[in-house]
Amino acid sequence: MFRRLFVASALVAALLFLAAPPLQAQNSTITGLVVSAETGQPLANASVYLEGTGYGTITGANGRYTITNVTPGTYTVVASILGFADARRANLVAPRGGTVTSDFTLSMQVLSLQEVVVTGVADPTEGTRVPFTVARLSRADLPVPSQNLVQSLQGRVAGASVVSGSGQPGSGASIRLRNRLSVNTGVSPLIVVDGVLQSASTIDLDPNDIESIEVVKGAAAASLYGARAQNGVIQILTRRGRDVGINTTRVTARSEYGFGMLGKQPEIAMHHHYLQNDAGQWVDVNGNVVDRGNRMIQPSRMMDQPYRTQVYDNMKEFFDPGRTMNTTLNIARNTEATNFFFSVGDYRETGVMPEFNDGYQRQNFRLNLDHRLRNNLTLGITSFYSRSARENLPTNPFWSLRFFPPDISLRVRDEDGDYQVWPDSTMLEVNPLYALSVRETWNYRSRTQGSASLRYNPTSWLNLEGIVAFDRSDRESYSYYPKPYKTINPSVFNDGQYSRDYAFDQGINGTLQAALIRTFGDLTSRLRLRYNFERDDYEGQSSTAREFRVLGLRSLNNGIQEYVGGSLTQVRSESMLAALGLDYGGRYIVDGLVRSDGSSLFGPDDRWNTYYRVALAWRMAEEEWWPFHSFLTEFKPRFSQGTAGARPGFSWRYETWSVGTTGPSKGQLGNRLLRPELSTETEYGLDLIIQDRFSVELVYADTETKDQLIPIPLPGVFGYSSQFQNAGVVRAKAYEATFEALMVSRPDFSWRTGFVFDRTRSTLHDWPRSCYVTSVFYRCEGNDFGHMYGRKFMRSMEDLQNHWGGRFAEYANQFQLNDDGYLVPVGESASWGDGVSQGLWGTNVVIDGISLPWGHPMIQRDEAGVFDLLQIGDANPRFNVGWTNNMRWRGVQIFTLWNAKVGGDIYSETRQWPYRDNMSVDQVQVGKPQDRQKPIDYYATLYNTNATNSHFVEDGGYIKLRQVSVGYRFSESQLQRVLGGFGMSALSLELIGRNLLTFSNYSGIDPEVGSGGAGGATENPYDSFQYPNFRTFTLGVSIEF
Amino acid sequence: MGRRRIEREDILMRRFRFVPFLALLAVLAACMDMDVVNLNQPDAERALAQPSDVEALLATGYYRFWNGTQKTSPGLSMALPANELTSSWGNFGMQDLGTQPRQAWDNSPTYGYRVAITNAWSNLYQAISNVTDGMVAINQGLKFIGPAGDETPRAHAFAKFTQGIAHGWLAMMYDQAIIFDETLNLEDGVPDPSPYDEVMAAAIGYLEEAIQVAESNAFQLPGGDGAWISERPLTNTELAQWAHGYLARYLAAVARTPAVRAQVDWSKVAFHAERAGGSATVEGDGAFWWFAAGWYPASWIRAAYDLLGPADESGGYQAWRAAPLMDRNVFTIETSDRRIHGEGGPTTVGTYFQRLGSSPFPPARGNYFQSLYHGIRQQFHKDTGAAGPMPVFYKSEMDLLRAEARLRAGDIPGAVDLINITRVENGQMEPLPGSISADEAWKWLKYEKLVEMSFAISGVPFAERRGWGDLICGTPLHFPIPGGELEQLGLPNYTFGGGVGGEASPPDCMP
Repeated sequence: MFRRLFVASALVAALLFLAAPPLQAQNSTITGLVVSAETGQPLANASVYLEGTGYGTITGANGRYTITNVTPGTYTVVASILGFADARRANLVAPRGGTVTSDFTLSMQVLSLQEVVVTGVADPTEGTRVPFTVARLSRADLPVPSQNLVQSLQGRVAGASVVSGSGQPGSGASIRLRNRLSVNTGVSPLIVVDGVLQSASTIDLDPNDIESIEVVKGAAAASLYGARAQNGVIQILTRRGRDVGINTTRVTARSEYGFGMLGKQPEIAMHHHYLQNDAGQWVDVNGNVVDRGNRMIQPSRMMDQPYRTQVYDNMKEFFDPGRTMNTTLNIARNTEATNFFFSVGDYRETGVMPEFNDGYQRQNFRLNLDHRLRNNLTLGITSFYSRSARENLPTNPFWSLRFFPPDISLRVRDEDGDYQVWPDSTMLEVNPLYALSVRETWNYRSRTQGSASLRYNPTSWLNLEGIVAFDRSDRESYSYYPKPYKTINPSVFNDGQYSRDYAFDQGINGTLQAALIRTFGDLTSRLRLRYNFERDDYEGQSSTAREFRVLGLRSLNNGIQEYVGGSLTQVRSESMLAALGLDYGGRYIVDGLVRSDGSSLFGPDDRWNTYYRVALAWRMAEEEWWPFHSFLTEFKPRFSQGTAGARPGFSWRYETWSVGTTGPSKGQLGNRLLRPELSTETEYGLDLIIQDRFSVELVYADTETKDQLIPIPLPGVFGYSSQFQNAGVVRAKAYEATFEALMVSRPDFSWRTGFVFDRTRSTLHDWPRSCYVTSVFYRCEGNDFGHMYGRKFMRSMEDLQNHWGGRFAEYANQFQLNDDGYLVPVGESASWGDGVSQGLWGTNVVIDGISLPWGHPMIQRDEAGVFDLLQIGDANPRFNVGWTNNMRWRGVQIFTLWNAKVGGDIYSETRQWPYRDNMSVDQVQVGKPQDRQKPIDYYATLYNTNATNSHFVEDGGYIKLRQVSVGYRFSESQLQRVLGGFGMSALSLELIGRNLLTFSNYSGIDPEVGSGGAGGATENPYDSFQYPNFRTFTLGVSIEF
Repeated sequence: MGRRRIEREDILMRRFRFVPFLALLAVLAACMDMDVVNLNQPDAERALAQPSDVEALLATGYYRFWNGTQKTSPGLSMALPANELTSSWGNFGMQDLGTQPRQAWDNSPTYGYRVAITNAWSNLYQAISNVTDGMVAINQGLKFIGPAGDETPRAHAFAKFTQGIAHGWLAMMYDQAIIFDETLNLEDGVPDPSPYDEVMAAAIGYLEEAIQVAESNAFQLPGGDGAWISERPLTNTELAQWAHGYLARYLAAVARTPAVRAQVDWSKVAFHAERAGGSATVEGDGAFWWFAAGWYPASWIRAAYDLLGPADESGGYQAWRAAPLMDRNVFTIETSDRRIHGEGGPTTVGTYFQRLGSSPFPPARGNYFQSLYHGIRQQFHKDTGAAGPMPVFYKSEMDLLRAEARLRAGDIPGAVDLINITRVENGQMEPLPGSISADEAWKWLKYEKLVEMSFAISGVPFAERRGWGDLICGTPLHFPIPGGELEQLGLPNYTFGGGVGGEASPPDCMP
């Protein structure tokens, strides 16, 4: 009832305001001049607008502006231009029928902390007046377009963890803001682009279109967004035409072309452990030639024999530099009543195996338009369309190439001219080149987004706005096995298979809101009332045809066997919000809000959930008594507490049965009381600004997330597997620091540097179900996300005391630590280095009646003698830091972005598996002193049949030079000197490097790894043969007309 | 006046020109019905809206049983501790379960290969739950009316049959389990687990009731689409025969030690085995109906030397057994059993097994895992995409249960007559004379039964070796309730094997 009343009231109020008679006859005019503080020169094309209204204009070539027909009242006027600090003038009175003048002087550099933010607050507010953390990046902060929109935050925003789990072109990146707060609902923040709630991956969007990004990291700041905002909110605004001069058209073309290549070449063993004669033939112990399948291991069992026939480095041969190309053209125009921004883009990236994979390409179009229907009524339109195609990898060469011995050429072809499927019949793996050359598998995506907003300002203190936004993601893919398709063993694919999948996500959200801004003496109040609805639909279908009737026909009708599948989901949600911000004299800031969310995802018996926020800030430097006015220009302790949620997955609240060919069967038990997870965050912050040149932002955030959405297993006798319940708590802490400095700020030379730091931890409490390991990560009471559990090789005598109930404790003299740091049984008289010299490898040491392989590491066992499950690593870095430098000297611009992850383990399955086939460089004994040589059996013990164990946990820390660009921008006068500039107003040349340098002790190709699973790549540093991130070098040219 | 009116209309038009925009918002908002139905998966109310739905639920019983017993887990997992198959790949717990010296079963809910015992547990209770729901509906008066009139007895017999075979497998595999049927209500709490012998007693009761109902009512279990038991329709008589077959198998297989197996009522075993009606099969369909023993290629699994070795006439098996574990190298069997190799010599293909050039398993994991032999009797199953008949039980299994009954009764010639059936027909070996010793008879009875069941019937060879005292010492005699399930039931974790207790111990085991 309350909900309907709220909606009805809001609509009636809006209609009443629309019906109010216009008062044009007695309107006011605001005029003025905008100049540069550094040069004193007028600034053309600066945007001047009345905050919170549709009134606004652009300065002319002389720096002057005039805003006419302004409804009389009190306004805040803002002047803004890229590369300069916004300037604001509050409480400007526009008199009835009169003119008021307001001039502005803009500084070339501004601290991010001082910029206006719009996300998470009731109304656009200067960063220094916001009582919680909002990070902001503008286009000027992003001189190097990232390959993925969310990657723009990497190393720039404290607490933003971004990991590209796969370097395959067209792959998205996983992002986490601040802490992981949920076991099962992931870490992805809510992403809003121009008011459009993103219903699918942001991979479709073009980073070149970004105007600004704002990031709210925790529940306290994000409570404005309620049940979807537990993981924070990223709001992206795209470029518009309003920063172009009045009646001016600006055309910009930009192209980047370059190469992508692996930063580090993967290695395989180039030695073996078999008996071979000088001619390179395999022989038995008597020197008789044998076939490859019956070759014999040399008695020493050491991998120290070179191949005596031709060798191939199948890893090196496979990877080549690929091309990368990114071209955009945009047109922006501005008139008094209308402005637009139009862009087209074309992006192509082949990756590092261009011979076998075409990689990814995307084309996108954007048109953003603003039109002033009346002086107090503005229509805003955004529209975006993109389409992309990606050739998938039909098999994972990063996996299979690691297992082929170097005496096997993968390039040999069979009688049909195909790559040999099984070039080494002693191997378990097949030649990946065959699948890569004959199979086809592609993904196609298209994305359509649009929003329309109507903003109406009937009075100077009231702003009414309606927004409708639409987002649709269409995805198609196909996979084709030709007939015949060759395999080692008979397979369902032999007679061909064609699969075609189609899916779409479609979201519509609408908002109706009223913002009331009134000033009462020193008190400024901002009240926002909002109603929002969301409709999200998903549908997916898949079709497969097998056993083709006709050769070479790629059609679903061509299959003797045909399968179809599909699913669809609908989500319906509504919310209501009331937010109030109070600012007394610019010193005391109070903010509060209440929001109620309803969703079809919640159980029908607990359909509405309420969220709140309370925030306080005290700008002490604004006090008259403040003793450091000339030095510490901002000193703002702040406190905020708020709640936000995470919604259940679509099917989680339902009782689900499946009805298939084998009849109905029970799935999960439903839960009519299922509600969203509830995060309560308390944030303490301190913002400092020193002489408007240095800023420091310190934050500590403490979050408790209860009502975790956990599938609780049920005893088998129920027939149902589990039931989702709200149970369990995640407690999290985050420490963040942001430092920014305007080192030099002169007209011909500027240097800005930024530094971010964060440390986060999240711990499980009140764990309601049996503990479990997901890949290597442990979910159990008292454990942090990121704790790795598995089998542990003993490394100390203390471990021995705890081993198998201490049964070997009294035989400690028969164990020693070897050169790998492992505790190994050596008997009473030998030393760990005596294996070769005394022929002890392959023998046993019998202790307490148990035979232990001599010199082999031992896994810790529990009381019953079962391998114990113990903590073997921690994926949480000790801390992360990012460092940016942005320098400009005349026309030269240099930008660097460094990023470091200090500590934090990786589990490397990529290193572990090659032990199985004796193909790891770790196993090669060449060059080792005799006492350190170890046979293949030693490594088989460490491989431990691929069980998760401590040997493959590595320090994943790194320092990366992520982005570097060196550019030169020719001035208009320079261009004029050369044949009149060809009509160009600007020309820039840039050399750009991405992912350029990595310093790490990690043995894999790139320490930035992550696999899927709950939480995404940021939460799962599990190296499992993923397509590695690679480096790119490009040359960029930008021309402006 | 007229002009003023026009201005007013103009103003009104302007005032309300944006009403459609807001009206659109209002309409969209008004359409927000949050009672969204899950169109992908029904709930119980929708899934069981009609009597035929309840019958369809009940009809899943045998598929669930098959899914929980004849596929990879525990199909391969139980074949390793039985020394029926060998493999040192870690998958499905094969290496851990085949390692010697035997080790304790890791019953942690976090153990990577826990599916080796959880799959049977969950599927068997789903089978029991589904048919029990049907029985509850029947007891509440639901009638299944079909073309043949009241078909409720068919559902009744099938439900009892499913309850019987599922409880029987639970008793065979686990040390304890929950006995559950329509007489219990879970709203009163989850019953406590019962020891395996009580579970088996319950299973026997269910199967005897199934036989009684099936033999008293003429019906046919549906085949084809919506089949209750695979593709082939079964008559009431055949269902009763199957129940007799399972009864015969379970009565013998439940024994944990030779002493207990000796106390089995062998006349009852023979009684049911004689009424099992010969071999029984279900049809593979390449999708849902397949079985592990026919599916995995030679690169995954091989035949254990302990399975084939008793037929070796070269002395190789004795040497292999006498060697230390790590020195047990592969050897070629020479035998007159044509199931192992052909008439052309030891390297030629037999009817059930094939000698391959090398063994695929990493030597560092233990030479004793290596074997040159792969079972090909069911290889057609994989070659045809899992199509074709899959054995439920062979007539030979029933014959050899009868043979064991005769042997235990002291009737060696009678036992030999039954042993010779497959020995001669399938193995093309010389028939055993009726005058052989009891030890000889026992040796060939065991060999014949294991060779006939290997690569075909999952789980049972483990139970047979257990009852004969032929498991490797230290092998768990049975499996505990899965660790995760124990947590749900609020019971402490425990395990068996490797010296912890509950394992095969001398003299009732093989060294």
